[in-house]
Amino acid sequence: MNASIPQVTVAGSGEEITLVVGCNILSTNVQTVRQQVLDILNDAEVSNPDWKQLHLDITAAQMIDSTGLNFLVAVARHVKKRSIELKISVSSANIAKSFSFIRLDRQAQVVLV
Amino acid sequence: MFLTPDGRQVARVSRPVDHVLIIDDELALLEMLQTVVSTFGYEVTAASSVDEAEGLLTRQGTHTYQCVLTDYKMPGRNGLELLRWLRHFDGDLSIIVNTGYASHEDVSAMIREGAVDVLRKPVQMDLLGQAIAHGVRQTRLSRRRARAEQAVKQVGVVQGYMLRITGIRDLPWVGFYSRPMHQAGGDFVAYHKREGGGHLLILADVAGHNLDAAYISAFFHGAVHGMASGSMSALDMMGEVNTFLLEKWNDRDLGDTLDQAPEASVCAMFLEMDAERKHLSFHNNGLPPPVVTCVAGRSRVLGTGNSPLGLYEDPETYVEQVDDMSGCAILCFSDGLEDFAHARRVTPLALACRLHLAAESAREELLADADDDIMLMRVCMDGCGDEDSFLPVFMEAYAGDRCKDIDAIEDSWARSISFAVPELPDDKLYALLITAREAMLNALKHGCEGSPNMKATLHVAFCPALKTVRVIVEDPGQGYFDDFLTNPEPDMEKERHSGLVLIRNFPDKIWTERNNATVFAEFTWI
Repeated sequence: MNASIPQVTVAGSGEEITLVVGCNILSTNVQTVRQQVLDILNDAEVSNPDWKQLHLDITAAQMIDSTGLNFLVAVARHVKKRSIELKISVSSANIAKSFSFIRLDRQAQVVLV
Repeated sequence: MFLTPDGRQVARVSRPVDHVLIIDDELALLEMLQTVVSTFGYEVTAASSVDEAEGLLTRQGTHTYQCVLTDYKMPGRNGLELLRWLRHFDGDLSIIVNTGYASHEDVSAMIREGAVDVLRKPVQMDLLGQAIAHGVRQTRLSRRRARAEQAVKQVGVVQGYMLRITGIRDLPWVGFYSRPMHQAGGDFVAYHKREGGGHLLILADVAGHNLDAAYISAFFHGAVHGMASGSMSALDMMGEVNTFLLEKWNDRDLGDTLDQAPEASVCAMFLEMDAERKHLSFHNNGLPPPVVTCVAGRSRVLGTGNSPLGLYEDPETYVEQVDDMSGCAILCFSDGLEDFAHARRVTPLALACRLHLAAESAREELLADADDDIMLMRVCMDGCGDEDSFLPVFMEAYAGDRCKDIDAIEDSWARSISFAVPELPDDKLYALLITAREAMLNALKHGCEGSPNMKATLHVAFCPALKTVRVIVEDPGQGYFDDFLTNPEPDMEKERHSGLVLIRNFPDKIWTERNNATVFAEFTWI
């Protein structure tokens, strides 16, 4: 599976911010995805103090490897420190299984759509 | 003398006169056509109805005639019905329909049914002459082509028979599949029982993939059969063939095309085994190196191909003796299989695995676009059966600095594995890919220390009986001391990379060797 060009967009505002990650998250593209997500989260902290929930929509991903999982765990830690709830939507049962293996499902609400 | 359609008088030639059958219910017109067509130099038979024409064609045989000229509208049955009847028996005999009444639909129907021409009454003499001359030519051409096709088919039948009498298909420990590009080809295999009960398998691939290659191949196998019967060693036999090709067949100047015969070279592989099939004496000139797969599913390439026989005085035959091949299987294939696999962007092993397991009809479908002869043989050595043996699907070594290419590398795994094992469920494919990816990244980064001079290897093998794909990732490093991957109750307090968590959890079974420097993972489905 090719790492597609990183593509992170914001699809929500107000109390819930939705970030749509339109690609796989792999060792080969995680740095770019990380930077894009971080930029958006930093903007949100400044511009949207009422922010209470982060929804990561990664339903476009077909594969997330260990580096990608580590990144998602880091995002979970990041938002937890700020008392922001994390919801992650995935469309792949295999990815959901990976989340359970690394216990990410205990850090975030994982929704299989 | 006879009259040509353009009015010239030409002396009769001595070749057999072409015979035209003319059918028309108007007797005056029939008589006139008979006279005119005779003046063109044809022998003519006339019939006044479709029934009469069918009777003549049935009694005399359709091959008596080179062309049929028929009226369309006649009492009883019409020209189209005659056309359909005749096509049923003889697709090569040209029919021209001569009509004064046919609609566009009728004309279309006649063309669809195979009429070579449709003439409109009253027909001009020169047009009639040209149409009949064309029809006769078409008939001759079609019949010549049909004879050639039959002859070619017969070569294929003979090659199939030769294959049968070699006894290769009677050996339960050999799986063999051959598909020539044409009806017959240059790829061939032969089996010889050696003195003392030993076995000798000989694969050959003659340069080219036309029928001449099949002929040279038969010559080669006949010669080798004689030598093998005389207990000659494999190396000597290869030497003899090389000398013959160099000193006889290819001993001519480049510009010497007197006989139009192409230069010949033969890729040949000799697999000589003892009676128990434990010991292997392997010789190869020019065929792709075979792959040996052991019980564990780990594979290795057996030697190198070297050059074919017939090109150089010293053929530099690759020779290897393997003392204990127990439990192993040897997969041999021709370069046609290699080329076709590359065109499909899968590994030759993946294509070989798929072909080996596929039904005959599925094989034909898979290879429909192949433009070379394809040959595949799997030899089970002592103790290797189909029950629990693994077929190689993928084997590749990667230099330690290839981490950056892991996406493309994984793509190649996905393509080949899903091609070789189409029944592999999606979730198992995912589990396999993520496990292999994590294990390979570990192997490249740590085991190979990221060095371009060290390599990590991935082996993927499939056991159809167990519905299991086994993955082996190994690196040349020392490994590391941690039982996390294999201990059912590992120390969970210790922090570990999530890659190891995936490797531990995704496979249905996992074990390691050499302090985790070799990781085995199995994926099984129902």
